[in-house]
Order: sequence, then C-alpha cells, then structure tokens
Amino acid sequence: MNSIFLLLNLLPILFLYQFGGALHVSLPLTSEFTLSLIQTPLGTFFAYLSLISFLLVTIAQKSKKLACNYYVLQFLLSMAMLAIVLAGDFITFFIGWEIMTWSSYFLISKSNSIDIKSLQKYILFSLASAFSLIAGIVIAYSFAHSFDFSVISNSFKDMPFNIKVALIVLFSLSFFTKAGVIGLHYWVVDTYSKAPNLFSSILSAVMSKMGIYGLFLVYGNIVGYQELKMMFGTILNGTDFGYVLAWIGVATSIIATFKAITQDEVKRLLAYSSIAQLGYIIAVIGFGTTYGVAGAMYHTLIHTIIKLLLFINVAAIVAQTGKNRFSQLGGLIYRTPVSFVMLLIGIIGLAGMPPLGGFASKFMMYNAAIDTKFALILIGMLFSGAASFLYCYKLVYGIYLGHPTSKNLETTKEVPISYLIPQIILALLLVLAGTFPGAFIKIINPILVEFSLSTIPYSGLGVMNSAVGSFNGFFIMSAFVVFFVLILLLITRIKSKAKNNLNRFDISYCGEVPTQDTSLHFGFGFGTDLYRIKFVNAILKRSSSSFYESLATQTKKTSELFSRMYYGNIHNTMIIILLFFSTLFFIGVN
Amino acid sequence: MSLGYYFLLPVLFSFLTPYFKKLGSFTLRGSSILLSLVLFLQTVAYVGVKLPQISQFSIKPPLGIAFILDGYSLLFLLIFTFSALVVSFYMYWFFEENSGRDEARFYVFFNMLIAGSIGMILSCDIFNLYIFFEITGICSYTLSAFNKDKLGLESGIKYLIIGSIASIFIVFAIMLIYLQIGTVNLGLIAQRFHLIDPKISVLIVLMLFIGFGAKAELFPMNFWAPDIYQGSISSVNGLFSSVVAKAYLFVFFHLFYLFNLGSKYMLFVMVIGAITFLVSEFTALNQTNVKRLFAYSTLGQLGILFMALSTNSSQTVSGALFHLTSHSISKLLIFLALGILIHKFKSAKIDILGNFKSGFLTIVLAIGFLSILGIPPFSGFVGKILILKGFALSQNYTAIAFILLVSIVEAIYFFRLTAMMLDKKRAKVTVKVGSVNYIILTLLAVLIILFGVYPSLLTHYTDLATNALLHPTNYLNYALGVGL
Repeated sequence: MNSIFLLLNLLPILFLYQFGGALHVSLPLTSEFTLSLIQTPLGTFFAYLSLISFLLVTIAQKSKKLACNYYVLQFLLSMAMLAIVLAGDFITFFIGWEIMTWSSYFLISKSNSIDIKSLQKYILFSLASAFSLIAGIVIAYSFAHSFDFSVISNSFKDMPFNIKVALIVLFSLSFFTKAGVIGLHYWVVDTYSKAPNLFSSILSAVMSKMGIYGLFLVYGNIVGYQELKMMFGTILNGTDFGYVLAWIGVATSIIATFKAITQDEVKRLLAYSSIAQLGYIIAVIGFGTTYGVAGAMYHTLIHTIIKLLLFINVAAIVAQTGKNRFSQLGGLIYRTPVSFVMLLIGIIGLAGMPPLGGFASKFMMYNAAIDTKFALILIGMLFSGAASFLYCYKLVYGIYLGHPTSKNLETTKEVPISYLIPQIILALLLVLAGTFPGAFIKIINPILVEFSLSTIPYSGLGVMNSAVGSFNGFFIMSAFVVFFVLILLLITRIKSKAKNNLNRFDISYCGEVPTQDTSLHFGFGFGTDLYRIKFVNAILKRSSSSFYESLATQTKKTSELFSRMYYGNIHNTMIIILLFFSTLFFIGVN
Repeated sequence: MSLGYYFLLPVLFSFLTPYFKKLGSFTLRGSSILLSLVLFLQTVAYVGVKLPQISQFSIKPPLGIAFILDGYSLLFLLIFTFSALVVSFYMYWFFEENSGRDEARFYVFFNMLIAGSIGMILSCDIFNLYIFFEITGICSYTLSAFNKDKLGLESGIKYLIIGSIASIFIVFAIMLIYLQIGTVNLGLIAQRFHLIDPKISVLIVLMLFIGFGAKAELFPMNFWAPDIYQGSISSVNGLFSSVVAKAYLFVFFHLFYLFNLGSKYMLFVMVIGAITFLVSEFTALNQTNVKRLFAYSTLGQLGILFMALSTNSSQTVSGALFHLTSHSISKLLIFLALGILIHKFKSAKIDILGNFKSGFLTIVLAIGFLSILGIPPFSGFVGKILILKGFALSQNYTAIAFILLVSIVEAIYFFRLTAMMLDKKRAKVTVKVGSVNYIILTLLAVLIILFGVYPSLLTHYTDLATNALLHPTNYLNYALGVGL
C-alpha cells in the first residue's frame, strides 16, 4: 500500500517537471465557471514544496500500518493543495481550499488522541477561513464579473476604496487563520498536537504554507505591491500596510515563542514554534520590497524543511517510546544517536544560527527590516529570535539529554530506518540551503519579476546578496566543518579517558538520596521560571480561548432562546399565525 | 401520454390497493415500485420535448380544466417522481423488516401524496390547485401518523389543525379572487390581477402568503413542523422534506411571479426567508433528537431558498433551483440513511445513534452533510456559489454576509454529528445495510457527486426552469388557451 502511494505521490512531481512551467489547462464546469490551472513561478515553488513534503512523509509512513483510506485521503489532500497553488481562477482555488479542509479533517479524525472539541475547533476555524475567502471572492466577482485572477487583478484598481479594503481584509483574515496569526490561532495548537503524529508534520509544514501562498497571491498578484503602496501610502522605506502587518507578525512570533517555551507536550511546543516562525514570514511579507518578499519566501522554504524534520523526528520518538511529554522523556542520546543528530541539525536551523539554511533566511528577513528602516520591527524580530533559542534548547535537552525519566527509556532502540531516511534528506537540504544560499536567488528572481519588483543580483552559488551586505555560505560552512571536526576529535579523546560507570541515582542533594520515582530530568520544569518576569507573565497568562469560549456560550444561549419558541403548543402556533396575519394586514393596508 | 395520467395512475393504484394486498405483500410493494418507475420514466421522456405541454380535459381553457407542464414544473416533476421512486424502493426494505405494519394504508396515502403534489404543480387553475393542496394535505396528515404511538398521533393531529388553518386562508383568497375577477384560471388572474383594488389585493396576497407560507414552513408559522418530523417515520420525513415542502414552495413562487408581485413584496419575502434561516439554524444547535435536528435543517434550507428565489434575478433564481434540487437529494439521502439507524437502535436520540459502526453509512452521511453545507466537490457547493454569485451581481452584500455567517452555525451541528460518527471511543454497534438500501444510497451519493463535478447536467434544467418562472409568457398563453 505504502509503495503504491509513494509512486502516486511521485507522479505529480514528474508531471510538473515535465511541463516545466508551461502548464495551462482550462476545463469548463458550467457555462459560467471555468476551472483553469496555470503554472506561475510562485505556484511552482509552492507546488514542489508541498509535493516533496508529501513524498517524504509517505516514506516515513512506511513503518506504520495505515489503512487504504488514510492514504487515499492524504493523496486527495496533496492534489487539493496542488489545485490551490496552480489555480488560475478563484473557483479552482476555492474548490482546492475546501477539499483541503475536509480531507484534512477526516485525516485528523483518524488520530487516537483526538476529541470532538478539537475537531470542532479545527473545522469551524477552517470553515470560517473558507467563508471569509468566498465572501471576498464573490465581492471581487461583483466588480470584475469574472473569477479569473488576471481579470480581477486588472479591474482591482477601478474598485471603490472601501471595497478594496474589504477585499484585502477578508482575504487576509482567511489566510491568517490558516497560518495561525495570534488571535486566530486558537485551533492550531490543539490540532497540531492531537493529529496523527506524522500528519502533524504536513499540517505544520505544508498546510499552513497554503495561507502564506494565499497572502503572496493576494498581496503580490491580485492587489500588487505597487497598488498597496498607492492605496495606503508609505512610512519610512516601506508601506503603511506592511508596517501594520509587520507588527501583527512580530506580536505573533513573540507571544508564540514564550508560549512555546512553557509547553510540556513536545508537539504543542512545535505547534507554537510553527506559529512563531510563520509570524516572521507575515512580518516581512507586506514590506513590498524585494528583500521582504525574498526573506518571506526563503523562510517559507526553510520552515517547511525544518518543521518536517522536527515533526518526523518527534513522531519517530513517540512511536518508539510511547511518550510525548518532555517530563516523560530524556537521555535518549545514547539510544537513538542518529535521531539526536537530526534533531540537532533541525534546531540549529530553527534558531537561525549559521551555518545552516535558517541563518540565510533570517539574514534576509533582518536585512529587509533594515532596508525599510523598520527599526522597532527589527528589534522585535531579534528579540523573539533570541527567545526561540530557549525552546530549541528545551527540545533537544528534554528529549535527548539529561537523565532518562523511566526505566524503559534506557532500553529504547534507534528509530526505524523509514523515519530516518526523510530526516536525513531534509537535514541535507538544510545544510545545502546554508552552504549554497545563492541557488535560492535563482528560484526567487522569476517570482520577483512576477510581482514586478527588482531582482536580486546573483554572484555565485555560495553567495547571498542583499541590500545591506552579503555573506558567503560556502565559506562559513567550510570553516564550520573544519572547527567542528577539530572539536569532535578533541572531545572523543577526552571522552575515551573518562569512565562511564556512574548510575543516575549516585547523587545526593542536601543529604537526600533520590529514589526511583524522583524526577531528575531538567526538562520537566523548564520555562516555568519565565512566569516570574512580569512582561512575559502578562503574555503567558492571556489567552484567546476565553473570547472564543464566551462566543460559544453566547451561541448556545441564543440557540436555547430560539428553541424555546418551538415548544410545540399548537394553540399558540395558531394564535401566532393569526396575529402575524393581522399585523401584516394592518401594515399592508395602511 | 396525457399529463392527466400523473394524477390518474396513482389514484387508480390507490383504489386497487386492497386487491393488490390480497395478492400478497410482494405484489403490493412491487406494483408501487412499478408505478413510481412508470411516472419517473414518463417524466424523463418529457426531457427534451418542446415545452410547455398542455393536456386539456373536455373544454378548452380558460373555461375548462387543464394541466400545463413548463420548464419550471418539469424540474420539480423530475425531483418528485425520482424521490417517489427512491422511497418506494426503500419502503420495500422497510416493510420487509417491519412485517405486520399496515402496508396497504401506507401505499394508498403515499401514492395519493405523490399524485396531489404533482397535481399542485401541474394544474393551471387555482381551484384545482386548492383541491390538490387538500389531497396532499390529507395524505400528509395520515402519513405522519403512520406510527400509531403518542408522537405519531400528536404529529398527525397537529398537522391536521395547521393544514386546516392554511386551507381556510387559501379558500378565502380564492373566493376573493373569484369575487373580484370572476375567474379561477391562473392565466386570466395573472392578466387581471393589477385591476383589483389595491387594498383587496393586499388582503389576497397576504392570505395566500399565510396559507402557502404556513405549509412551506416559513418562520413565524413553522412552530408545528419539527413535531411533525419527530413523529413520522424517516422515509416520510424524506418525502416531506424533498417533495411536500418543495411543492408548496413551487406554488408560492409560481403565484408570486405569475401575479407579478416581485417588485412589491420582494424585500418582505427575503427578510422572512432570512429570519427563517437564522432561527432554524440556531435552534437546530440545541437538538438531541436527530429527526427534529434535520427538520430544523430543512427549515433553514427553505429559508435560503425563499431568500434567493424572491430576488427576481435569473442568476440567483437559477442558483436557488440548483440548490433546491441538491437539497432534495441530500435530505432524502440523510433521512433514508438515518431510517436504517433508527430501525437498528429503536431510538432517534443523537447520542445513541452515534454509536453505529458502518463505513458505508459514515461515507454517505458525510457526503450528504458536506453537500448541504455547500462544500465542494458536492452538488450543494454549486447551488450555494450560484446563489452567492447572483447576490454579488445585484451587489446585495448583506445577504452574502448573512448566508455565510449563518452557514457557520449550520456547520457546528453538522460537524458535531460527523465527529460523533468518526469518534473511536464510542461503544460501536455494527450496522448492516441491506442490498436495496446499499443501491439507493449509493445512487443518491453518486448523484450528489455527479452534480457537483459536472453541474452542466443540471444547470440546463435549472436555466429552463428559471426562464419559465421569471418570464411566464408562454405559460400564460397556454393557460389562456391561445392558439389551441
């Protein structure tokens, strides 16, 4: 089963490669609707991103016994995403969007840990997102008289100002919900943490990127960055609109970063981290400058790679140990060394440290902020970037370092090879993205042309150019590798002399000797100290859940109020009908 | 074949039912299926024929009685005869499982119900229309009381009372029309309606509105409807939802556009439809009985249809008719599938029904739910997007926002049911689906998908129907007997 769907997942990639940018299909649905698929540089980028992710996740699913309908739904999901990114008109886009919604809903429902409340949260937010999207689509239609992207884009300039704003707000709300901007992220954490473990990687790495694709599509293609600049004016070197969006993004990333640090469940931490990373992308996506778009695009790529890597890694560990909390894990470095190295590479990328791809993307985004002179935004991004080190550290410490928290962790074996293959591929991609950042300039330049922005000069595979400065990834990587090998040699020489015959209970503090059930694992309480910082405490205590729960209560109350009318007394019904008639008659005659 | 057979054949069958019963229950059920099949095939044969078609009895209209089939009634005729066919097959299974129930009584009233509904949409004078209205009504009362328990009898008696009130209003309206214009022929009334004194015409319109509105389950007059659905067996619920309510809706808008009331009463009907939609969807959230829940869902969808059909714009009306067809199919699917579950669990409580385990039923129910919610690639999506598109073209953004916002409320209960079906923690009871039900449910689900991915199959007929509804010149000529 797995091999069949592996091949099936390979097919669209080959198909897309075969067409090489010239795909243009249109299919009349009725006399009024035509479905069309057009391959643009932007769409192609996202298409490869999602298809390759699906392929890698399918490889990882080899070791799980999954039913046929699981694979069918997953394939449907990948096709829906392909329809979204290749759509040439809004109807195709919307059909893809909705098929994505329900097929992912049924996939999430296959998890063992899912409950009705989380499912409801997921589907209602997704549908709210979809309905906001369709509202925008039909409003655009009422002016353009077409669903075609190019026609709507052309007639956008002639629409009244309030309609333009309404369209931008509706589309943004829809895509923000999918990407999980703070305030609209209520569904994200529960869904990512309770979905089937391997499917979480798709949710975080690919599905949230559909929101980013939508934002690019609307800001870059439909509205156009030039038009955004003309509509809202400029501030410093960027647009007003981009400045507001940047604050939304930075707030998202700071809040989510602190929330991530205090989580005890591994997948919840990753979910918050995913929200935080998408916050960066949203922060720079509206700048309307070359480096803003390039930074957002590069970070999209890097975040997809990292989140796939991390979620597959965690899924493997959970499958192997049956534990999904930091307080239940620890000390796996000797049992699962390969997984440890993979996770290490992942978090180095996530933290944005050189020499991996994460650095290159952060470099681009910081440069974009410097370029537009948004100093406060830059500070916010640096702050949340620095804070993200903490959760990266928690991730590696909580799972792999320290003491194992239970006996059976000491006998855990290395995870199956099918989990490791995609991780190794992704880690290599991450290394390559850091070593040859110049290759990305070649990918991004056609997209920049599509958005009618100036292109980035290309000077060699290893060099990443930007407005402020440039760096040579190849050089950094070479230097790093040399130092790394030297240090590794040094450590192994010291290590070989030390004796490793200590038991983890051979310690005592204040005269107390720990017993078997004393938790010696640091990962347990990590991050709780943050509550003592007033500013962070204020962030951590607040939550959007109270708002949404009161909304749910209000809906329920309204429902009870209305259902009181239907208590089934036929006399009252008759009286109401007669009263209704006489009132209407009175109004009508006079 | 004359259009009169649409009425005569079922009536003949009803009178012959006692003899069929003597020949055995297989003959009874089989012959009912055969009858439905004949009616359905006859309707299919009308597809592609030049419309309108007229069948006159003895005297030429406007003096005599006639049946007229135009594009608008053809669409409804297709829905009705198809629903009747599906329900006859389903009842074959039902009586197989519940032997000892009064089969003959069911078939008499079932076929009369179909005859009455079809008569309502075909007849071209308002007095005959009233007679068919009464026939449909009486059959519905008896059918809703088919379960001779407390709930069933309650629903029967409530339906009887409400039906009588509605009839009084309609009879009064017809009387007033006859007093003012001196005719009951729809063509002549349409021609002379503007001559009536405005105050009297308001009274007539209001009485017709109350009469047909109460039967078509519009808001302040629909407090009885959920009780009826709760007391009836689920196949009858399917009929109420996809045939009977739709027949009243047909007449409502037929008269609405024939008498050219669009300009004056459009906003009024739209607001009433919107309130119906809002109240029903919110009320549905609070239900624990699955039949009541889908009763409210039906009311809500009728609300959307009233909103969209009253707009007088061909785009929206065409979308609404598409939505109506898709809703009929989906509700039939849902009610029949629920019937299987209710038969198994002997209860209609949602909590108990959620315990079933059957991949097939889960899939078909999910398809039905998604279709009613208007999610692609199912047929409800096409209907909903066409309605929204129509509203967008007339720049009625309030209606768009309203429909979308209330649809989220609708999604809450539909997905709560779906989540319940998918919940692995429940104690599951395997439900087996018989081969007959397997076939009809698959057929309905396939139709939903087919109309969703290839809507041109249906849009052709909805466009014809829209044209006939909004521009009834041809219909009027035939009703007046011009050129016969």
